[in-house]
Amino acid sequence: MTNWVIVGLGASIGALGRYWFTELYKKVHPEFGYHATLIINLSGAFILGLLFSFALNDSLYGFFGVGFCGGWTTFSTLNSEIAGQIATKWQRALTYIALTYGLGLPLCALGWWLGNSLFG
Amino acid sequence: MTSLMIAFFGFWGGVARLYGTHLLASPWNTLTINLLGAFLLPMWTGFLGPRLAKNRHWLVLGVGTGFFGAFTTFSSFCLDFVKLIIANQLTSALAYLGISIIGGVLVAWLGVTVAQRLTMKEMRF
Repeated sequence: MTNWVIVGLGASIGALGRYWFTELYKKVHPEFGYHATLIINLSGAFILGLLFSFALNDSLYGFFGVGFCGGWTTFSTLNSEIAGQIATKWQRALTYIALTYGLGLPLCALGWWLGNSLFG
Repeated sequence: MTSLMIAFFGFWGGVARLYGTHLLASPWNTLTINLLGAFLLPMWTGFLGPRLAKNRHWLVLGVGTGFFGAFTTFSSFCLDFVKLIIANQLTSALAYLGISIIGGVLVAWLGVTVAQRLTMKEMRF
């Protein structure tokens, strides 16, 4: 089994990066702070697809994949943000859902495909 | 202080996810973790956190952004979905996607609502 300390360290760095990026983004675009979560989730989906195609050993995948990408991306914040907007700004909430899933899944597949074609 | 707390609780969020994924088969393990976290995050930030952590804002954020943020994952969800598609398990892939999208919003909304009700109830007494 993957070493839990390695996964924890990766997740810790991922979560911290997510917090810093979101804080910075909110300062620049206060009205569209939730875009930070979108960028984070889309980039993480792409990177995880890429990492998976590399067929790394348990420790490296545990740190970068399970740990970092898992800690960097988030499902709880995404849905809290959607739930908070759906009653008052439902068009914005639906766009947010469509962009997250509509781009996240192809980007993850693209990462995997790119990794396989370039380094496979 | 807040950064340190987010790194600390993020560590344990990632570890909890790692152990959680061994309890169920893929992809239902990640689905369960994600839905659980999506419900608990608004419960924590809207009700439990401000009460248990009082005015320690860094602790509310540490557990919310750190623990629940790292406990749940969007990247693994995407990878699980892509794996199902490649394995030609289209029905499972679509069920996973549908439950994640609709279930995620529903449980988060439920978490926000329960937290609000509990707060109002507390103010009345």
